[in-house]
Amino acid sequence: MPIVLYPHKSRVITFYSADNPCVPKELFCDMGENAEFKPVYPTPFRKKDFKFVKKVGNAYYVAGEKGLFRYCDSEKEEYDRVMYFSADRDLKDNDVQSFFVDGDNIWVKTKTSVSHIELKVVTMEQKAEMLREETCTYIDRKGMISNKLLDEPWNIESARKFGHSDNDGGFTAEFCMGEILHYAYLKREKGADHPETVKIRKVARRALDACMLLMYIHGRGDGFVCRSYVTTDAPLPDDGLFMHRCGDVATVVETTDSIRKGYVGRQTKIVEDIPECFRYLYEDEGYTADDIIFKCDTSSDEITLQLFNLYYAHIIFGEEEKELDALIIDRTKKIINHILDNGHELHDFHGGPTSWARWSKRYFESGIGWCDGPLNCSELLMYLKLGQAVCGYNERWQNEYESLLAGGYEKLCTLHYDRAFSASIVKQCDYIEDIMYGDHMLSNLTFFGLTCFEKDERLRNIYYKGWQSWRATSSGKEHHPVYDIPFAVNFGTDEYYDEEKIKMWFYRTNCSYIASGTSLVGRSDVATKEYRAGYRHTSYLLPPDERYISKQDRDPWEYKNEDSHGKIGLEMCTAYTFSYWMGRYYGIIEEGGDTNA
Amino acid sequence: MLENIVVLSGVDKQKNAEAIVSAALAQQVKIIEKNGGASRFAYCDSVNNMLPVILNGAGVYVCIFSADVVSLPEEPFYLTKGNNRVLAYRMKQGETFEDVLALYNRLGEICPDFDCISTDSMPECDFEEIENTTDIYVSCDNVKFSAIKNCEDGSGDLVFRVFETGEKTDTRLFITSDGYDFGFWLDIREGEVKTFRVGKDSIVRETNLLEGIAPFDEMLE
Repeated sequence: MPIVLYPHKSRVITFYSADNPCVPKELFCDMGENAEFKPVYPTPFRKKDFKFVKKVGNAYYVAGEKGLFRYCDSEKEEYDRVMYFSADRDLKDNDVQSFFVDGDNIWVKTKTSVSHIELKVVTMEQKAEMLREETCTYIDRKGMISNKLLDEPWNIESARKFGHSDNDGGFTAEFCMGEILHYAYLKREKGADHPETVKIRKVARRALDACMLLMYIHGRGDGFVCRSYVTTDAPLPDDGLFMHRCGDVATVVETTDSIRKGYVGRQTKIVEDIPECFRYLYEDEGYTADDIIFKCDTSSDEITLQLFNLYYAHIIFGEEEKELDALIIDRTKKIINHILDNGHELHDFHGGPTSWARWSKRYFESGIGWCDGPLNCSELLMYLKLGQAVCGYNERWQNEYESLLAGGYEKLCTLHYDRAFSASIVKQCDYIEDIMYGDHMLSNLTFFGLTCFEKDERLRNIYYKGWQSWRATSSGKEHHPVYDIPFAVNFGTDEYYDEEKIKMWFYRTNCSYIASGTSLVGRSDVATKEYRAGYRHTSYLLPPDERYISKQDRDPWEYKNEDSHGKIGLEMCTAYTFSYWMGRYYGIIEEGGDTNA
Repeated sequence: MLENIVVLSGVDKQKNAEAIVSAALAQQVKIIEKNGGASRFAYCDSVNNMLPVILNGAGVYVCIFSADVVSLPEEPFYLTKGNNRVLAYRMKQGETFEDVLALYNRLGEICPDFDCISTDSMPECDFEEIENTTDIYVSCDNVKFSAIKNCEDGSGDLVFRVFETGEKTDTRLFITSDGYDFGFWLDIREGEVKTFRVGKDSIVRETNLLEGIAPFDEMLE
């Protein structure tokens, strides 16, 4: 049975100065006497901090120097009965001096500002649209999607033009997969010519083109994939290895990393052209290929996400665009053959492996690679099956796959928790404190892919066990739909699949991903658990609009106020849109009617 | 004569009080701990009281509660459930378990009608009444207290432990106390046991059996 998502109240926040004519005069009236209020549920701050208490309809509104909360025990969902509004996200500061309730909306005057908190009833699809529009308008950088910094706090219009992410390719691939599935859903439900379908096709194609451009701009023709690129007029980031392509060579430029490693000035030849269909991404802005400085030292994260994106692009766009499909098939072949030809490693300009794109036994037997072994070996197995799903049967790849399984990868792919737990003991911390949350997406896609592409039941059971070594110990406990939905597609539910928490996640995600924080630290209705090395968890999984905003590669239980640069950060929408459209495409979620039944 | 000293813990604590009393009367209660029952962390709780100590003697069963169970009467009383009756004794502050064992031999002093289990001279307290006098409230039926006590470090912090009874995979609940001025939300999985410590500042921290008293490394030394 699909999860039905109904229209739900979602927070839309607008800030005003106190003298703005839009601000109602009622906000400046005396607050009057407080209503009598005896809460049953825990409240975000204690009674001694209640300064103003008003009853409007069925709800109480309580405010003071710690923000404001709405208490309504007639709300259908228990997690909606106490809603906390705090700085920096809903208010600019927590010192509430007055408030005025207007229907389901609240005007709040704090010491420094006025907030209009609109509890707007939106469908989850509308929310996906709002978030995607925000991302495409303010984050898109030559088609690449990751995040942006703002020059002014909260002011989305001040999003900086420049700025890259180490994982531009991977994050764009995630966004792209969501929009490819979005397009596929619309095409199925509304037809290819519907205006909405046409619009989303363009969005998905732009993201796909940006992803594929990274597979060509290095010009090596050997299946390498770049992390990102900037243009010559942009500030050069100093967080890795970059090469400037000019004419028929690409040259390593000076950064701290390249100087330290002695790579400055090293060159590679440009032997492969950038396909014309991808050039518009920089040419439309007035650049040429000689203005490109691309980022090397690509990781396995990038390869996994890029390859899976190629798979979806192949199955959704392949039939429609044969030329594009030819490029997809060609790149898939080149990437996988590069990995096999280089001893299960991604090799860079220097002839050796990149720092983090290694799937070799020698890496798994090294100190650093021992923990990565279970995930990376599974990734390689997945690539070999995914590649055949895109390119057709390939004897070399199938033989390699079977050989790897027989050579120990069959067991290794189930050992994630065993190794990670052992490593945490060595590091003298709790396992929870050593989790790399970014690996959850990789493990999820990897095992989703393996259990999609592998038909042998014995092997599928092994991959199920491998998947559970992640779900049961970390990723399943996030209750994030981007992890639960793929699992549900292939296996239905398990003990970590919580339909109510999935609903709460969609219902209570903000309509904007400006990453301003919340006043989680210090809430009196949240107990904390401190682990051995000082890391802290909340006692319950808070709704997304009352905890920090980030990509999905963070711990939702972490006891902290903000991430992703807070009020000067704008995060991409993908955590929501990828989850939502994957759910709609596979029929795991559907929209309900106009009323919340 | 003292025959069986029993401390009930773990799974046994999940049985309701009626079953405990029945089992005790049927002499089916097992010896769980061999040290006389007065372990550092063994204590009684309130709701659906899991009686941690039952002294078996002369057909009369006495239940010893720790002094920390402030919701119970100070003077001895009977716990009743249907036709089953157990004499309940709440230890005084500073009183040790050994003191109570010695008291056992003087049961007649605390229970004048010891031999005939008369209801006339002793107050009676129904299990339901005990349940309602606790000041700490748990919002769902499948999460029970197994301990409410003071912290062993003498700080005066409150320590309580809850467990999920195996009925639901995931439970969202809240725990509140007006007297201790705290209230928080909790997610607990099937069969999980969680211990919390509440400071005088009413801040609630999840801890474990060690109650956050000693740093982990010190405990290893």
